[in-house]
Amino acid sequence: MWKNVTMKQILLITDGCSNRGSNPVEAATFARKLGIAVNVVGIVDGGDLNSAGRQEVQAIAEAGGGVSRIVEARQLAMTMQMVTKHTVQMTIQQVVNKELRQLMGTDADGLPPEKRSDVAEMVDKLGDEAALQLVVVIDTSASMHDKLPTVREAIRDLKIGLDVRKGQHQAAILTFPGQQGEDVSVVADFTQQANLVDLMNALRANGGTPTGPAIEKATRMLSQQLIERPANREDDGDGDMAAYVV
Amino acid sequence: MATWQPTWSDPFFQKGQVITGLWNKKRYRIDGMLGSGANGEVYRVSSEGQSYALKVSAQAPEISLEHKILKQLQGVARGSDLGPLIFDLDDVQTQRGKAFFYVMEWVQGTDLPDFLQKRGPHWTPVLLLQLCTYLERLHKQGYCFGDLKAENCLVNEDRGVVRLVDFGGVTEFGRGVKEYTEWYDRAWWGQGSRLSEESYDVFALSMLAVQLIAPEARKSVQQIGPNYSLLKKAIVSDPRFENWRGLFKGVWDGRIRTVASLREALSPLVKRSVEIEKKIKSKQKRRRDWTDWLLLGSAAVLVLVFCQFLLF
Ligand SMILES: Nc1ncnc2c1ncn2[C@@H]1O[C@H](COP(=O)(O)OP(=O)(O)O)[C@@H](O)[C@H]1O
Repeated sequence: MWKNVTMKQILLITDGCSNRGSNPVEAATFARKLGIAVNVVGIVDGGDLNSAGRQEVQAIAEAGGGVSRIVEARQLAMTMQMVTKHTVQMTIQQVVNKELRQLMGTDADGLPPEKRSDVAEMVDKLGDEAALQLVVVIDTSASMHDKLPTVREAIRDLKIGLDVRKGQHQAAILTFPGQQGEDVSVVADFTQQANLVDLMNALRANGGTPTGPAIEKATRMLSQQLIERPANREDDGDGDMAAYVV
Repeated sequence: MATWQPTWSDPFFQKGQVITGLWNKKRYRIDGMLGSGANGEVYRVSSEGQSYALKVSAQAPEISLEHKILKQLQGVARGSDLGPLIFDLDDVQTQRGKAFFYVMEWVQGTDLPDFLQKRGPHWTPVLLLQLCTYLERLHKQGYCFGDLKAENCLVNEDRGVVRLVDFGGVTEFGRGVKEYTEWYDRAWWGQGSRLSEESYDVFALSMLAVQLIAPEARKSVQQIGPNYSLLKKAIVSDPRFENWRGLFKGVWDGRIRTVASLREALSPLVKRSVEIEKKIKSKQKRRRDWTDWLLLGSAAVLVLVFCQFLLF
């Protein structure tokens, strides 16, 4: 059943406050309305992630129905994997909880621990099988300069992690500000295999931080694209469950 | 998977605190912290005069899944201690909100570097051979250990027996490894996928060997990032790896991808280790005999001196 479901996520990597264009929290709210979850990873070392920056990181994720995490650059790779997986599972858990409440009048947390294990196992499996569409949105403002090698490593690592999932996945990469002074540029879209050598050249830190416009661009990409589904899989009647997710 | 506690938050429990499970109502006294990681905190606790280890996390799924796997392993491998024995699974109210825990056997032991420091580097192949046996049994159940690393191995000091703790990385074959550590992760080194399979653990075991034989190598890697060909060069030119080159060449050219083939490559090293240990033991014995004579001799002299006083 979950094989027919596509999870849509934006993963924002930033080290500072937005200072150009539309409001990123509003952009995240809009994404959420379209069934897209927004995760945010804030990087602390060296950058200017002051308390306003931290608050914005949290507010964007909250508005976008995702999770936020503030970490040092060396924890970036692991964290990107964790937030992505966590949000996939959280989305499934929410639907399962809804079903459980209808069936048994309680969500998973209200079940005895041993029973809960069975639910956890199911959610874990489904999370691995669900198709995933992900747009990684990378802050390339000047303060990110020293962290870009780490970001490249982390993206390589994210891809390694996505490759071993049972479900299909498509990933795109955006940078903001863009490489020619525009707000956002697409470094790799869904159909391209992200070539990390190209990415290495493309990532050059410069300019301001138009976080809002970048989230908007990612949202547009996600609401246009659909993962191709195998045509021969018969509908097993769980289509309405899918409706909660996408 | 993830833990969403910010890294700067307080620990779940304080030493001396007594906690009660919400469902099973068992009471545990917190005796100290054993460790903490990405996935929660592990405490030494006691209940009805028995010591246990308790793992707690804010994430119910992680605790549930880990508990489930440990329980399963306990079922199939009774008495052969594949994982720590499992005793309880419950929820608890903490100052950080509701938390989830399981209670397991407290595995006592020294970590590998400390043990080798005390007993000598010739123990390295012996410890790795034990891990091979361990992994073979786990693989038979259809699981990969995943997060194999020095910190997750504890050695009993008297008997030199290794046990594994932290089953958070244990993953059914055919899926993505749940938890891993860069240094031991073949995908990080660009040497394969992160798929849970036998050869994933074999690679991790080979990196554990490097870590134990040349601990400083890992520090330099932290600066330059993963460069496997550089690491190979370092191993080939380092005299500490003299007897290990056959094994590593096997890992590099793909001959060693199973635990059985790794074990085979280890066996001449183990034989050599046994010889060394025998020599040490017999030397210790001889020395003891000699010191015994010294002791006995000085005692005799004392007695004689004492008698002289009495006589004269
Ligand atoms: N059963 C146990 N007995 C003794 N020590 C343990 C036990 N389980 C875990 N530990 C200690 O706690 C540390 C952290 O636990 P671990 O399960 O690795 O947490 P995480 O998965 O979050 O890293 C381990 O490295 C180990 O030293």
